[in-house]
Amino acid sequence: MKRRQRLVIKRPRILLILFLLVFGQAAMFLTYCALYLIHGAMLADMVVPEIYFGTFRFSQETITYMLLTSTWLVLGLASAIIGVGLRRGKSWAWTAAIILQGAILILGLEAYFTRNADSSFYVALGLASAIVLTLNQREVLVFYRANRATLAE
Amino acid sequence: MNDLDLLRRFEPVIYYTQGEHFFPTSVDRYIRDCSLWECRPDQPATRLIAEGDLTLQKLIAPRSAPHGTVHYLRYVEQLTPLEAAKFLARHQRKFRRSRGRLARVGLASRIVDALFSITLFLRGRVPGGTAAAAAEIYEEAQTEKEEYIYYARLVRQNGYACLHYFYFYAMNDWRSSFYGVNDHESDWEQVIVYLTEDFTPQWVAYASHDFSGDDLRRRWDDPELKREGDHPIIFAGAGSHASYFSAGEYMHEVELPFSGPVTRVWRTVQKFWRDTLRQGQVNDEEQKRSSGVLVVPFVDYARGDGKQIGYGREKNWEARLLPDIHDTSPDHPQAWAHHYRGLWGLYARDPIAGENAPAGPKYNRNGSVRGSWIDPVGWAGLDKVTPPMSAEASIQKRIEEIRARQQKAQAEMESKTLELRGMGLEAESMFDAPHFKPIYSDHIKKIDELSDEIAELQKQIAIDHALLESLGAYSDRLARGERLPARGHLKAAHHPTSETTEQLGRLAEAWAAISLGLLILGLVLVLLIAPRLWANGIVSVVSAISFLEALFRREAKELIQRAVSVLGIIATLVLIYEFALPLLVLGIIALGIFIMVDNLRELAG
Repeated sequence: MKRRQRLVIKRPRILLILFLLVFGQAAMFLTYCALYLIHGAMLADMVVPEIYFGTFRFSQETITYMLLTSTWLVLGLASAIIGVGLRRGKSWAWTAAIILQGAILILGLEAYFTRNADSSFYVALGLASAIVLTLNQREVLVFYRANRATLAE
Repeated sequence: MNDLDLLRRFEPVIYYTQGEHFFPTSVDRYIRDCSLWECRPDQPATRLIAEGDLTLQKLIAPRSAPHGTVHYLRYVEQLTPLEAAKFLARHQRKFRRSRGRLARVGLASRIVDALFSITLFLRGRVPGGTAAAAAEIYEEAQTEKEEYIYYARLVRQNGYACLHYFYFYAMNDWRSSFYGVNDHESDWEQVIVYLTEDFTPQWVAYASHDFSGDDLRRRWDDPELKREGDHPIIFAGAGSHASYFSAGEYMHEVELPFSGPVTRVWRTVQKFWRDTLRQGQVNDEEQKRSSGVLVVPFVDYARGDGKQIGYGREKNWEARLLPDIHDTSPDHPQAWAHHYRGLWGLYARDPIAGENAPAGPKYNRNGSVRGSWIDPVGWAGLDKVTPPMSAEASIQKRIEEIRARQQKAQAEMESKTLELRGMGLEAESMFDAPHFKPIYSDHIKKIDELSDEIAELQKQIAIDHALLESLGAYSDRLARGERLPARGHLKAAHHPTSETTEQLGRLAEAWAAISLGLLILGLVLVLLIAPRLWANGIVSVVSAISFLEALFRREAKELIQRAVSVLGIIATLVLIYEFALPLLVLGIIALGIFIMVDNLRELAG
C-alpha cells in the first residue's frame, strides 16, 4: 500500500526575516489604509451635508482617495494572508508573494517614473525589493519547493 | 601482424543519418575534380592549375609565396545564381528534420540566431548551391565507381599503439542541408583506437566539435562505446561528420563571433547574482555548461538510421596507409599528407574560419602541424595515463622515486633542525646583552626563516607518506584486477537531447518560427502608431511576446520570477539613486550596532 509522506525540511533562518518583512508590509499598507480612513472621516463633515442636499458630485480627488484607500486595504489584506501562508510553509504563498511584489513594484515604479511618487511609495518600493530578494534566496526557494513535493513510499 | 592488418582489425564502423550526401572518399578521386588556387594577401585569388589537370604530384610540388598566402582547392567552380538555383532544385532532401532547434531554446537565443545569420553575410561564406553541386559531382563519381575509403597510420607512443584513422569527405554541408553552423568544401575527421603494446584495446577517441582532451575518449569497456566485435561504432553527425559514441540529436551552442567581452561581463554578473547574493536555485548541469549570453543553438543529427559502412555491413571499407611520421618521401602514394599544406577546398575568407575548408590530416588551416598528428596520445589526454601493462612497474618506480625524495627531505630536515638548535642557543646567549641588539634581531629573523623551511620539509614528508600509502593501495587494487570507473576521467561528456526535448509540440515549433518576426513587427507598429508612447509600447510588446513564449515553454512561473527580480533590482537602484546619503548613514549606523552587539555578546559569553 502506498503511503504519502511529507518531506521534512528544516526552516532556514532567513525565513524569519521574510516573515518580518511580509508582515511589516501588511502592517504598513493597513496603516496607510487606516490613515486614509481617518482623513476621510474628517472630510465626512463636509461631504455628508452635500449628500443630504443632493449636491454631492464625485470629484477627481474623491475618486483618487477611494481608489487609494481600497488599494491599501486590498494590498494589506493580501500581504497578511500571504504572510500566514508563508509562515505555514505553503508553496502557493511563495508564488502569490512574488506576484504581489511584482504588482507593488510595477505600481511604485510607474508612480516614480511619472513623478507621482511620495514617501509612502518609496517605503513600499524598498520593502517590496527586500522581499523579492529574500524570496529568491536559494534556501527559501529550496524550502518552499521541497514543501510542494511529496514523497510516495 | 603488419600495420595494415592491425588497422583493419580495429577499423570503426560508421552509422550515418538518413539524408547524408557525402561519405568517406579517396583524395585522388577528389583531386581529379578540383582546381588549385592561390590567394596572396590583399590580392584576388588566381588559379594555378585548372580542373582536370591537377594530379597528386602537381599538388605536392613546392610553391614559394609571400607570408599570408593561402593555397586552396576548389571542388565546385564559381556558380552563377541560375546554376545555383538549378542545383538546389534538382537536389532532393531525404532528411527527416525533427522538432526545430529554435523551439528548444528561448527567445533570446533566437534573437542571437538572427544576428548569427547576419554575420554570415558580413563574413565570407560558402556560396549557396555549392553543397548541392558538390553532391551531384560526388554522386556521379560514386555511380562510376562506388568506394568508401579511409586513410590510417599506426603510431607507437608512450607505451600505446595508436591506430589513427582519417576520413575524407568532399563536403561538409551541415548548414545548408541540416540547419547547422557551417558549410565548407572538404572535411577531415579522425578517430584513434589506443592499444597496449600487445595490441589489447584500451581506449577510443573520436573527434567531435569543441571537445578536447579527456572528454574525447572512452574506455574500451565503457557501455557508452558501442562495438561490433573489435570494431568501435561511430555515429556520424549529418553534414558535419562529427563523431559520437551514441545515436541521437546533439545540441551545440556556438558563441556569436566577437561576443567575448559581453559574455565575460554576463558571467561576472551571473556569478555575483548566484554566489554572492545567493539568488535563485542552482542546477549543477546548468552551471557546468556555463553557456555564454550570445550563443546560437544548433542540432547535430547523429541518428545512425542511414547508411552503415564497415565490418559486417553492406558497404565495406577500403584502407589506405598514410606515410610514417618520418617518411617524407614524395614517392609515397599518400605523400600529400606531408607535402600539401594548403586547404582542401574553398577558401571563403571567413575570419573565424568556420566556412573555410580544412587543411589535411597533418596540418591546421594556418599550416602548423596538428597536435593529434605529432602527439596522438596527448590529444585525448592519455599522456597522463599509464597503459595497464606497465602500470605495476610504473607504480614501483614511482614509489622508489618518492622514497628517495622522502629520505633526502628527512636528511635535510635533520641537518636543518641541528642548525636551528645551534642558532637557538646562540640567540639565547645574546638575549640579555644590550650590545648584541642588531645581531640578535638578525638572528631571530634567520631562525624564523629556517623554521619555515623545516615546516615546509615536514609538510612534504607527510604528503609523500600519504602518497606512498595511496600508491601501495592502488597497486594492490590493480593486482586484484580492479580498475577505476570507466567514466571517471570525463569532465563534460556530451549527451544527446532528451526525448521530452525532442517531443515539443507543433504549436511551440510554429511559435518559435514566428515569434521573432512578431516581436519586430510589434515594435515597428508601436513606433508608427504611437511614437509618443514608444517606451510603454516597447515594454508592452516585449512583455506580451515573452509571456506567450513562456506559456508555450511552460515556464510562466519562471518568467514571473525573473521579471519581478528585474523590477526589484530597478527599484533598488532607484532607491539608491534617490537616497544615497541617508542609506549610507543607515549603513554606518547598522555597522556600529552590529559591532556593539557582537562585542557585547562576547562579553556575555
